[in-house]
Amino acid sequence: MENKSTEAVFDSLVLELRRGTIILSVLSQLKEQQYGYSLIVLLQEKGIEIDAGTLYPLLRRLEKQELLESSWDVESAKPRKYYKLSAYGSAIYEKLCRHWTEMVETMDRLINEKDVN
Amino acid sequence: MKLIDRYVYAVTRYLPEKQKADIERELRTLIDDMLEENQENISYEKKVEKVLLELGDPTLLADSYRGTKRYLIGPQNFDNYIFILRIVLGAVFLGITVATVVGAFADSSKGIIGFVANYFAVMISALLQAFAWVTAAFAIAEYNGVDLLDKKEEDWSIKDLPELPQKEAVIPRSESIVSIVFSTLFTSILLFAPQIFAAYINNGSGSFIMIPLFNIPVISQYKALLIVVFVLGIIKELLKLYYRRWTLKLSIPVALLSVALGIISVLIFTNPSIWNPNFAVIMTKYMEIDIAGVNLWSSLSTGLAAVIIIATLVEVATNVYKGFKYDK
Repeated sequence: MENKSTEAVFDSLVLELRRGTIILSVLSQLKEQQYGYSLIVLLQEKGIEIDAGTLYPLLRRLEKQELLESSWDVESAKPRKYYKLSAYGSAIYEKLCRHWTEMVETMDRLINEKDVN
Repeated sequence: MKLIDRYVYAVTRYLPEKQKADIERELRTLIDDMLEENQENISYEKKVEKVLLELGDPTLLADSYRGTKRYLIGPQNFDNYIFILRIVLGAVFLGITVATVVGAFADSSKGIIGFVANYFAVMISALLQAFAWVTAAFAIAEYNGVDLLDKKEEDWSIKDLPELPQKEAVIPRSESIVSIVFSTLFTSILLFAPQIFAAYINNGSGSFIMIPLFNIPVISQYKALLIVVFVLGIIKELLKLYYRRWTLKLSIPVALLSVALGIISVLIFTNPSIWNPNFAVIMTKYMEIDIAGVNLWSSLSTGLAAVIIIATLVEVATNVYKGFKYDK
Protein backbone atom coordinates (compact mmCIF):
# COMPACT_ATOMS: atom_id res chain seq x y z
CA MET A 1 0.00 0.00 0.00
CA GLU A 2 2.65 2.46 1.11
CA ASN A 3 4.80 1.64 -1.89
CA LYS A 4 1.96 2.19 -4.26
CA SER A 5 1.18 5.67 -3.00
CA THR A 6 4.86 6.70 -3.02
CA GLU A 7 4.96 5.59 -6.60
CA ALA A 8 1.89 7.65 -7.43
CA VAL A 9 3.43 10.74 -5.85
CA PHE A 10 6.65 10.11 -7.75
CA ASP A 11 4.80 9.69 -11.02
CA SER A 12 2.89 12.92 -10.57
CA LEU A 13 6.15 14.76 -9.82
CA VAL A 14 7.77 13.37 -12.95
CA LEU A 15 4.71 14.40 -14.93
CA GLU A 16 5.01 17.92 -13.59
CA LEU A 17 8.71 18.09 -14.49
CA ARG A 18 8.00 16.86 -17.97
CA ARG A 19 5.16 19.30 -18.52
CA GLY A 20 7.62 22.18 -18.53
CA THR A 21 9.69 20.61 -21.28
CA ILE A 22 6.89 19.72 -23.70
CA ILE A 23 6.68 23.10 -25.41
CA LEU A 24 10.40 23.27 -25.95
CA SER A 25 10.40 19.71 -27.36
CA VAL A 26 7.61 20.56 -29.77
CA LEU A 27 9.13 23.83 -30.94
CA SER A 28 12.51 22.15 -31.50
CA GLN A 29 11.02 19.82 -34.10
CA LEU A 30 9.08 22.35 -36.09
CA LYS A 31 11.76 24.02 -38.19
CA GLU A 32 10.42 21.75 -40.91
CA GLN A 33 6.66 21.55 -41.20
CA GLN A 34 4.98 18.59 -39.56
CA TYR A 35 1.43 17.48 -39.02
CA GLY A 36 0.33 16.37 -35.59
CA TYR A 37 0.80 12.66 -35.92
CA SER A 38 4.13 12.83 -37.76
CA LEU A 39 5.35 15.02 -34.91
CA ILE A 40 4.29 12.42 -32.34
CA VAL A 41 6.21 9.75 -34.23
CA LEU A 42 9.23 12.00 -34.66
CA LEU A 43 9.35 12.84 -30.95
CA GLN A 44 8.84 9.21 -30.03
CA GLU A 45 11.87 8.21 -32.13
CA LYS A 46 13.91 10.73 -30.20
CA GLY A 47 12.70 9.44 -26.86
CA ILE A 48 9.95 11.92 -25.97
CA GLU A 49 6.53 10.44 -25.34
CA ILE A 50 3.60 12.77 -25.84
CA ASP A 51 0.01 11.76 -26.40
CA ALA A 52 -2.18 13.15 -29.13
CA GLY A 53 -4.69 14.49 -26.63
CA THR A 54 -1.99 16.79 -25.25
CA LEU A 55 -0.19 17.65 -28.48
CA TYR A 56 -3.12 18.59 -30.72
CA PRO A 57 -4.62 21.22 -28.42
CA LEU A 58 -1.09 22.48 -27.67
CA LEU A 59 -0.34 23.00 -31.38
CA ARG A 60 -3.50 25.06 -31.66
CA ARG A 61 -2.58 27.15 -28.65
CA LEU A 62 0.91 27.83 -29.98
CA GLU A 63 -0.63 28.80 -33.31
CA LYS A 64 -2.96 31.21 -31.55
CA GLN A 65 0.05 32.72 -29.78
CA GLU A 66 1.57 33.15 -33.25
CA LEU A 67 4.59 30.98 -32.51
CA LEU A 68 3.47 28.54 -35.22
CA GLU A 69 2.01 28.92 -38.68
CA SER A 70 -0.34 26.36 -40.13
CA SER A 71 -1.56 25.32 -43.54
CA TRP A 72 -4.05 22.71 -44.65
CA ASP A 73 -2.97 20.18 -47.23
CA VAL A 74 -6.14 19.02 -48.93
CA GLU A 75 -4.47 17.64 -52.07
CA SER A 76 -3.68 14.20 -50.63
CA ALA A 77 -6.20 11.56 -49.68
CA LYS A 78 -6.36 12.70 -46.07
CA PRO A 79 -6.66 16.37 -45.22
CA ARG A 80 -3.74 17.31 -42.98
CA LYS A 81 -2.96 20.42 -41.04
CA TYR A 82 0.74 21.24 -41.12
CA TYR A 83 2.44 23.34 -38.48
CA LYS A 84 5.77 25.17 -38.73
CA LEU A 85 7.68 27.70 -36.63
CA SER A 86 6.91 31.28 -37.60
CA ALA A 87 9.66 33.90 -37.72
CA TYR A 88 8.46 35.16 -34.36
CA GLY A 89 8.33 31.57 -33.08
CA SER A 90 11.94 30.94 -34.16
CA ALA A 91 13.12 34.01 -32.28
CA ILE A 92 11.26 32.94 -29.17
CA TYR A 93 12.59 29.42 -29.52
CA GLU A 94 16.21 30.64 -29.63
CA LYS A 95 15.61 32.68 -26.52
CA LEU A 96 13.95 29.78 -24.73
CA CYS A 97 16.89 27.52 -25.55
CA ARG A 98 19.35 29.94 -24.02
CA HIS A 99 17.14 30.16 -20.96
CA TRP A 100 16.95 26.39 -20.78
CA THR A 101 20.72 25.95 -20.90
CA GLU A 102 21.15 28.43 -18.09
CA MET A 103 18.50 26.68 -16.07
CA VAL A 104 20.10 23.27 -16.55
CA GLU A 105 23.45 24.65 -15.39
CA THR A 106 21.91 26.23 -12.31
CA MET A 107 19.99 23.07 -11.50
CA ASP A 108 23.08 20.94 -11.95
CA ARG A 109 24.90 23.14 -9.52
CA LEU A 110 22.03 22.90 -7.03
CA ILE A 111 21.61 19.15 -7.07
CA ASN A 112 25.33 18.39 -7.10
CA GLU A 113 26.03 20.69 -4.15
CA LYS A 114 26.14 17.77 -1.73
CA ASP A 115 29.08 16.14 -3.50
CA VAL A 116 31.17 19.28 -3.13
CA ASN A 117 30.73 19.46 0.62
CA MET B 1 -17.41 4.01 -38.66
CA LYS B 2 -20.05 4.91 -36.15
CA LEU B 3 -17.80 4.74 -33.08
CA ILE B 4 -15.39 7.30 -34.57
CA ASP B 5 -18.28 9.61 -35.46
CA ARG B 6 -19.57 9.37 -31.93
CA TYR B 7 -16.15 10.12 -30.45
CA VAL B 8 -15.57 13.12 -32.70
CA TYR B 9 -19.05 14.38 -31.87
CA ALA B 10 -18.39 13.97 -28.14
CA VAL B 11 -15.23 16.07 -28.41
CA THR B 12 -16.54 18.84 -30.64
CA ARG B 13 -20.14 19.31 -29.59
CA TYR B 14 -19.53 22.04 -27.00
CA LEU B 15 -16.60 23.71 -28.74
CA PRO B 16 -16.98 27.16 -30.29
CA GLU B 17 -18.58 27.02 -33.73
CA LYS B 18 -15.54 28.63 -35.39
CA GLN B 19 -13.09 25.89 -34.42
CA LYS B 20 -15.45 22.96 -34.72
CA ALA B 21 -14.95 22.04 -38.38
CA ASP B 22 -11.19 22.48 -38.18
CA ILE B 23 -10.78 20.35 -35.07
CA GLU B 24 -13.11 17.70 -36.44
CA ARG B 25 -11.10 17.35 -39.66
CA GLU B 26 -7.83 17.17 -37.77
CA LEU B 27 -9.17 14.65 -35.30
CA ARG B 28 -10.45 12.33 -38.01
CA THR B 29 -7.11 12.30 -39.80
CA LEU B 30 -5.37 11.66 -36.50
CA ILE B 31 -7.57 8.67 -35.73
CA ASP B 32 -6.97 7.38 -39.22
CA ASP B 33 -3.20 7.72 -38.84
CA MET B 34 -3.26 5.97 -35.49
CA LEU B 35 -5.30 3.12 -36.99
CA GLU B 36 -2.81 2.65 -39.83
CA GLU B 37 0.06 2.62 -37.38
CA ASN B 38 -1.45 -0.33 -35.55
CA GLN B 39 -0.23 -3.49 -37.34
CA GLU B 40 -1.54 -5.95 -34.77
CA ASN B 41 -3.52 -8.85 -36.04
CA ILE B 42 -6.87 -7.81 -34.61
CA SER B 43 -10.17 -6.76 -36.13
CA TYR B 44 -10.76 -3.20 -37.32
CA GLU B 45 -13.34 -2.65 -34.58
CA LYS B 46 -10.88 -3.65 -31.88
CA LYS B 47 -8.29 -1.31 -33.37
CA VAL B 48 -10.74 1.58 -33.31
CA GLU B 49 -11.56 0.87 -29.69
CA LYS B 50 -7.87 0.83 -28.79
CA VAL B 51 -7.20 4.11 -30.56
CA LEU B 52 -10.15 5.87 -28.92
CA LEU B 53 -9.11 4.58 -25.50
CA GLU B 54 -5.64 5.92 -26.14
CA LEU B 55 -7.05 9.34 -26.99
CA GLY B 56 -8.90 9.23 -23.70
CA ASP B 57 -11.96 10.89 -22.23
CA PRO B 58 -13.51 13.13 -24.92
CA THR B 59 -14.64 15.73 -22.37
CA LEU B 60 -11.05 16.12 -21.14
CA LEU B 61 -9.84 16.47 -24.72
CA ALA B 62 -12.51 19.09 -25.34
CA ASP B 63 -11.40 20.92 -22.18
CA SER B 64 -7.83 21.13 -23.37
CA TYR B 65 -8.96 22.32 -26.80
CA ARG B 66 -11.00 25.02 -25.12
CA GLY B 67 -8.05 26.02 -22.95
CA THR B 68 -10.13 27.13 -19.98
CA LYS B 69 -12.43 25.32 -17.67
CA ARG B 70 -15.98 26.48 -17.49
CA TYR B 71 -17.86 26.82 -14.24
CA LEU B 72 -21.45 27.38 -13.31
CA ILE B 73 -20.09 28.75 -10.05
CA GLY B 74 -16.35 29.19 -9.99
CA PRO B 75 -13.95 28.47 -7.13
CA GLN B 76 -13.71 32.18 -6.21
CA ASN B 77 -17.47 32.36 -5.61
CA PHE B 78 -18.11 28.90 -4.28
CA ASP B 79 -17.61 29.69 -0.58
CA ASN B 80 -20.02 32.60 -0.77
CA TYR B 81 -22.48 30.44 -2.67
CA ILE B 82 -22.52 27.80 0.06
CA PHE B 83 -22.76 30.52 2.71
CA ILE B 84 -25.80 32.17 1.09
CA LEU B 85 -27.41 28.86 0.24
CA ARG B 86 -27.28 27.89 3.92
CA ILE B 87 -28.92 31.13 5.01
CA VAL B 88 -31.61 31.01 2.35
CA LEU B 89 -32.47 27.34 2.78
CA GLY B 90 -32.50 27.82 6.55
CA ALA B 91 -34.84 30.78 6.24
CA VAL B 92 -37.15 28.91 3.86
CA PHE B 93 -37.25 25.99 6.24
CA LEU B 94 -38.11 28.32 9.10
CA GLY B 95 -40.63 30.26 7.03
CA ILE B 96 -42.56 27.22 5.84
CA THR B 97 -42.50 25.67 9.30
CA VAL B 98 -43.84 28.81 10.94
CA ALA B 99 -46.42 29.21 8.19
CA THR B 100 -47.62 25.64 8.53
CA VAL B 101 -47.82 25.66 12.32
CA VAL B 102 -49.69 28.95 12.39
CA GLY B 103 -51.94 27.61 9.64
CA ALA B 104 -52.63 24.47 11.64
CA PHE B 105 -53.72 26.46 14.68
CA ALA B 106 -55.92 28.67 12.60
CA ASP B 107 -57.62 25.97 10.61
CA SER B 108 -57.80 22.48 12.08
CA SER B 109 -60.20 21.11 9.47
CA LYS B 110 -57.54 19.19 7.53
CA GLY B 111 -56.46 16.95 10.41
CA ILE B 112 -52.93 16.04 11.36
CA ILE B 113 -52.18 13.84 8.36
CA GLY B 114 -53.38 16.42 5.92
CA PHE B 115 -51.19 19.05 7.51
CA VAL B 116 -48.10 16.87 7.61
CA ALA B 117 -48.54 15.90 3.95
CA ASN B 118 -49.10 19.51 2.99
CA TYR B 119 -46.08 20.57 5.05
CA PHE B 120 -43.73 18.18 3.25
CA ALA B 121 -45.11 18.97 -0.19
CA VAL B 122 -44.78 22.71 0.31
CA MET B 123 -41.40 22.36 2.00
CA ILE B 124 -39.86 20.32 -0.81
CA SER B 125 -41.18 22.62 -3.48
CA ALA B 126 -40.05 25.73 -1.60
CA LEU B 127 -36.57 24.38 -0.86
CA LEU B 128 -36.10 23.36 -4.49
CA GLN B 129 -37.18 26.76 -5.71
CA ALA B 130 -34.94 28.58 -3.25
CA PHE B 131 -32.03 26.40 -4.32
CA ALA B 132 -32.72 27.04 -7.98
CA TRP B 133 -33.01 30.81 -7.60
CA VAL B 134 -29.89 31.22 -5.49
CA THR B 135 -27.96 29.08 -7.96
CA ALA B 136 -29.31 31.09 -10.87
CA ALA B 137 -28.30 34.37 -9.22
CA PHE B 138 -24.77 33.07 -8.68
CA ALA B 139 -24.55 31.63 -12.18
CA ILE B 140 -25.44 35.04 -13.63
CA ALA B 141 -22.83 36.70 -11.44
CA GLU B 142 -20.27 34.10 -12.51
CA TYR B 143 -21.05 34.58 -16.18
CA ASN B 144 -20.65 38.34 -15.96
CA GLY B 145 -17.76 38.18 -13.52
CA VAL B 146 -15.65 36.12 -15.85
CA ASP B 147 -16.11 38.70 -18.59
CA LEU B 148 -15.14 41.47 -16.21
CA LEU B 149 -11.97 39.68 -15.19
CA ASP B 150 -10.91 39.19 -18.80
CA LYS B 151 -11.11 42.91 -19.45
CA LYS B 152 -9.01 43.79 -16.45
CA GLU B 153 -5.50 44.03 -17.84
CA GLU B 154 -3.95 46.85 -15.88
CA ASP B 155 -1.02 45.95 -13.70
CA TRP B 156 -1.56 45.80 -10.02
CA SER B 157 0.18 48.59 -8.13
CA ILE B 158 0.62 49.59 -4.51
CA LYS B 159 -2.12 52.18 -4.98
CA ASP B 160 -4.61 49.38 -5.54
CA LEU B 161 -4.26 48.18 -1.96
CA PRO B 162 -7.58 48.91 -0.25
CA GLU B 163 -7.63 51.57 2.44
CA LEU B 164 -8.23 50.13 5.89
CA PRO B 165 -11.93 50.88 6.27
CA GLN B 166 -13.12 53.35 8.87
CA LYS B 167 -15.32 51.69 11.41
CA GLU B 168 -18.47 53.35 10.07
CA ALA B 169 -17.74 52.22 6.52
CA VAL B 170 -17.81 48.54 7.40
CA ILE B 171 -21.04 46.77 6.57
CA PRO B 172 -21.77 44.29 9.30
CA ARG B 173 -22.33 40.81 7.95
CA SER B 174 -25.28 40.41 10.28
CA GLU B 175 -27.13 43.23 8.52
CA SER B 176 -27.19 41.30 5.27
CA ILE B 177 -27.97 38.01 6.96
CA VAL B 178 -30.95 39.46 8.82
CA SER B 179 -32.16 41.06 5.63
CA ILE B 180 -31.83 37.81 3.67
CA VAL B 181 -33.61 35.82 6.40
CA PHE B 182 -36.51 38.25 6.55
CA SER B 183 -36.98 38.61 2.82
CA THR B 184 -36.84 34.82 2.46
CA LEU B 185 -39.36 34.37 5.26
CA PHE B 186 -41.68 36.99 3.83
CA THR B 187 -41.38 35.75 0.24
CA SER B 188 -41.82 32.10 1.10
CA ILE B 189 -44.93 32.81 3.15
CA LEU B 190 -46.36 35.05 0.42
CA LEU B 191 -45.68 32.42 -2.21
CA PHE B 192 -46.73 29.31 -0.35
CA ALA B 193 -49.05 30.32 2.47
CA PRO B 194 -50.41 33.83 1.80
CA GLN B 195 -53.50 32.99 3.85
CA ILE B 196 -51.39 33.36 7.00
CA PHE B 197 -51.39 37.10 6.61
CA ALA B 198 -54.80 37.46 8.19
CA ALA B 199 -56.79 38.89 11.01
CA TYR B 200 -57.30 36.28 13.72
CA ILE B 201 -60.52 36.74 15.61
CA ASN B 202 -61.44 34.82 18.70
CA ASN B 203 -65.01 33.72 18.13
CA GLY B 204 -65.53 33.05 21.81
CA SER B 205 -65.51 29.26 21.70
CA GLY B 206 -61.72 28.96 21.90
CA SER B 207 -61.02 28.68 18.19
CA PHE B 208 -60.03 31.42 15.81
CA ILE B 209 -61.56 32.76 12.70
CA MET B 210 -59.01 33.69 10.06
CA ILE B 211 -59.76 36.52 7.70
CA PRO B 212 -57.10 36.61 4.99
CA LEU B 213 -55.65 39.99 4.22
CA PHE B 214 -54.89 39.07 0.64
CA ASN B 215 -57.03 38.00 -2.25
CA ILE B 216 -55.32 34.62 -2.59
CA PRO B 217 -55.99 33.92 -6.32
CA VAL B 218 -54.83 37.42 -7.27
CA ILE B 219 -51.68 37.32 -5.14
CA SER B 220 -50.70 34.02 -6.72
CA GLN B 221 -50.73 35.70 -10.12
CA TYR B 222 -47.91 37.86 -8.82
CA LYS B 223 -45.62 34.90 -8.13
CA ALA B 224 -43.15 35.69 -10.90
CA LEU B 225 -42.86 39.32 -9.84
CA LEU B 226 -42.42 38.36 -6.18
CA ILE B 227 -39.59 36.03 -7.19
CA VAL B 228 -37.99 38.87 -9.17
CA VAL B 229 -38.14 41.06 -6.07
CA PHE B 230 -36.65 38.26 -3.99
CA VAL B 231 -33.76 37.61 -6.41
CA LEU B 232 -32.95 41.33 -6.79
CA GLY B 233 -32.96 41.66 -3.02
CA ILE B 234 -30.60 38.71 -2.64
CA ILE B 235 -28.24 40.12 -5.28
CA LYS B 236 -28.22 43.41 -3.39
CA GLU B 237 -27.25 41.70 -0.14
CA LEU B 238 -24.65 39.58 -1.92
CA LEU B 239 -22.98 42.72 -3.24
CA LYS B 240 -22.86 44.09 0.28
CA LEU B 241 -21.48 40.82 1.65
CA TYR B 242 -18.87 40.75 -1.08
CA TYR B 243 -17.54 44.31 -0.69
CA ARG B 244 -18.12 44.48 3.09
CA ARG B 245 -17.57 48.24 3.16
CA TRP B 246 -19.22 51.27 1.62
CA THR B 247 -17.60 52.64 -1.51
CA LEU B 248 -19.09 54.34 -4.55
CA LYS B 249 -18.56 51.17 -6.56
CA LEU B 250 -20.90 49.40 -4.16
CA SER B 251 -23.40 52.11 -3.28
CA ILE B 252 -24.35 52.94 -6.87
CA PRO B 253 -25.46 49.45 -7.92
CA VAL B 254 -27.05 48.95 -4.50
CA ALA B 255 -28.97 52.21 -4.91
CA LEU B 256 -30.14 51.20 -8.40
CA LEU B 257 -31.32 47.84 -7.05
CA SER B 258 -33.15 49.57 -4.20
CA VAL B 259 -34.94 51.84 -6.65
CA ALA B 260 -35.91 48.89 -8.85
CA LEU B 261 -37.15 46.98 -5.79
CA GLY B 262 -39.11 50.01 -4.59
CA ILE B 263 -40.81 50.48 -7.95
CA ILE B 264 -41.79 46.83 -8.30
CA SER B 265 -43.05 46.68 -4.70
CA VAL B 266 -45.17 49.78 -5.21
CA LEU B 267 -46.57 48.26 -8.41
CA ILE B 268 -47.53 45.07 -6.57
CA PHE B 269 -48.93 46.50 -3.37
CA THR B 270 -50.84 49.41 -4.83
CA ASN B 271 -52.99 47.17 -6.97
CA PRO B 272 -56.22 47.19 -4.92
CA SER B 273 -57.30 43.79 -6.22
CA ILE B 274 -54.56 41.93 -4.31
CA TRP B 275 -56.39 42.63 -1.07
CA ASN B 276 -59.29 40.53 0.13
CA PRO B 277 -62.41 42.46 -0.97
CA ASN B 278 -64.55 40.90 1.76
CA PHE B 279 -62.16 41.70 4.56
CA ALA B 280 -63.97 44.79 5.80
CA VAL B 281 -67.39 43.17 5.55
CA ILE B 282 -66.35 40.11 7.55
CA MET B 283 -64.47 42.18 10.08
CA THR B 284 -67.53 44.29 10.65
CA LYS B 285 -69.62 41.20 11.15
CA TYR B 286 -67.40 39.82 13.92
CA MET B 287 -66.12 42.93 15.56
CA GLU B 288 -68.16 45.65 17.02
CA ILE B 289 -66.59 48.24 14.79
CA ASP B 290 -67.96 49.49 11.54
CA ILE B 291 -65.26 49.86 8.95
CA ALA B 292 -67.36 48.71 6.01
CA GLY B 293 -68.05 52.24 5.04
CA VAL B 294 -64.42 53.26 4.99
CA ASN B 295 -62.66 52.73 1.72
CA LEU B 296 -60.16 50.60 3.57
CA TRP B 297 -58.01 49.18 0.77
CA SER B 298 -57.49 52.25 -1.31
CA SER B 299 -56.32 54.25 1.69
CA LEU B 300 -54.17 51.35 2.85
CA SER B 301 -52.63 51.05 -0.61
CA THR B 302 -51.80 54.73 -0.70
CA GLY B 303 -50.31 54.56 2.77
CA LEU B 304 -48.28 51.49 1.90
CA ALA B 305 -47.00 53.06 -1.29
CA ALA B 306 -45.96 56.14 0.68
CA VAL B 307 -44.13 53.97 3.23
CA ILE B 308 -42.31 52.01 0.51
CA ILE B 309 -41.32 55.17 -1.37
CA ILE B 310 -40.08 56.95 1.74
CA ALA B 311 -38.18 53.88 2.95
CA THR B 312 -36.56 53.47 -0.46
CA LEU B 313 -35.58 57.13 -0.65
CA VAL B 314 -34.09 57.08 2.83
CA GLU B 315 -32.14 53.91 2.05
CA VAL B 316 -30.84 55.20 -1.27
CA ALA B 317 -29.84 58.52 0.29
CA THR B 318 -27.94 56.85 3.16
CA ASN B 319 -26.20 54.40 0.86
CA VAL B 320 -25.09 57.03 -1.61
CA TYR B 321 -24.01 59.34 1.20
CA LYS B 322 -21.93 56.58 2.79
CA GLY B 323 -20.55 55.65 -0.62
CA PHE B 324 -19.35 59.21 -1.22
CA LYS B 325 -18.08 59.75 2.28
CA TYR B 326 -16.06 56.57 2.65
CA ASP B 327 -14.96 56.10 -0.96
CA LYS B 328 -11.20 55.59 -0.64
